[in-house]
Amino acid sequence: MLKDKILIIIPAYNEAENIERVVDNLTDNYPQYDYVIINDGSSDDTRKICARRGYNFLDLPVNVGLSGAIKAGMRYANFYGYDYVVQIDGDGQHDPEYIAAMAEKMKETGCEIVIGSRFKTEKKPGGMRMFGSRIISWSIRVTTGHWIQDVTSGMRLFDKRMIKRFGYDIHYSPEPDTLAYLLNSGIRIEEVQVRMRERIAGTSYLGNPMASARYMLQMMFSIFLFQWVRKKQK
Amino acid sequence: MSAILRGILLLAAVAFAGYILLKIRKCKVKMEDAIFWVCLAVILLIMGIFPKVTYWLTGLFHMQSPANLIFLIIIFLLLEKVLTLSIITSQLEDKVTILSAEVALRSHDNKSRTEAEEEQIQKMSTEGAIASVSNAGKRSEAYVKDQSQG
Repeated sequence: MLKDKILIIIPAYNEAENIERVVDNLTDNYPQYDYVIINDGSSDDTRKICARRGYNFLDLPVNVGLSGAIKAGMRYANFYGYDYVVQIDGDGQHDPEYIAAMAEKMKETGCEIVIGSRFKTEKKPGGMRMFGSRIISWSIRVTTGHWIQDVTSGMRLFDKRMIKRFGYDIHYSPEPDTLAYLLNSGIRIEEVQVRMRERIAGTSYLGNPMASARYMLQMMFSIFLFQWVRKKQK
Repeated sequence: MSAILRGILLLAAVAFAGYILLKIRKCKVKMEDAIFWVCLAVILLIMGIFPKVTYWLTGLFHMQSPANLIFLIIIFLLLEKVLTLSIITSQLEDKVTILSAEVALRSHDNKSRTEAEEEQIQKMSTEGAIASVSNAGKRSEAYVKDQSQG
């Protein structure tokens, strides 16, 4: 039921070293899924590679950030009438193998969002990065009553209703604060255990401490304050 | 600190916070951008509710009156905001420049591509027409031959 209407969104910012590997794996081993790459104004050869290899890609002329790229992808999905969207990273840490299990979970539970989670059944490791993740998990637990283990996972499956909202609403960023707000609006979110690879090339955008602190500040304000003034729509 | 000044601070804090939260509710401002205004409202609120904090800070900075300190704090915060806004506007301006250049470039590229394709189609169709005309000529010759033989 799910197979022919799933779109995979691959946001890519300066992923020239990874994008070929990711997309070739997708087209060779998972031809049943449609995909679109969102080139987020990359300054390296990402666009050239996509054009040369004849990939299906949206080429954003300027860099708009991850949530802007996801927004573009969601609008693409809405425009071409897709029913489900899977977001995976352009660096190859997410294995498309798990998409089937995530879709299965959605069908089974009738939930609106499925997260490909590193810590659904496996234990969360310590360390600074996970410290932030723990705080956000706990904040969501306190404000919504639900545990989400892998809040920062970039691998998520959305249904049609979520496609519309993520494509058109100013506040819907692909971040954990949106998950907290959605849980409080009565949207159901499930997690499926996946294994993620370590990044093979390139660097993550949450690399430096200033950016991390800023990110945490935003999440805390959003989860503890702003979500309560937003209009709830089921 | 006079009661009127405290009243003004409290009123301003509530009005600020209320206004920015309303804007969030109406989807008119991004949540990231509201953080600053919420913090400003909290600072005003603290200074209004606990004048002792203000007096303590006034002593710390060797200032004449708490009102001066409040002005100074607000001016610094606003300066910071103007500075970051100025940086953001120049980045946005640059983005708009790039965006318009890219849109122009891409529509130009599209146009020249369609023109080239149209030309090719036209060429192909005229060639096709010539071919069909010459075919027809051959056929009529053959017909004449057939007739003469018959």
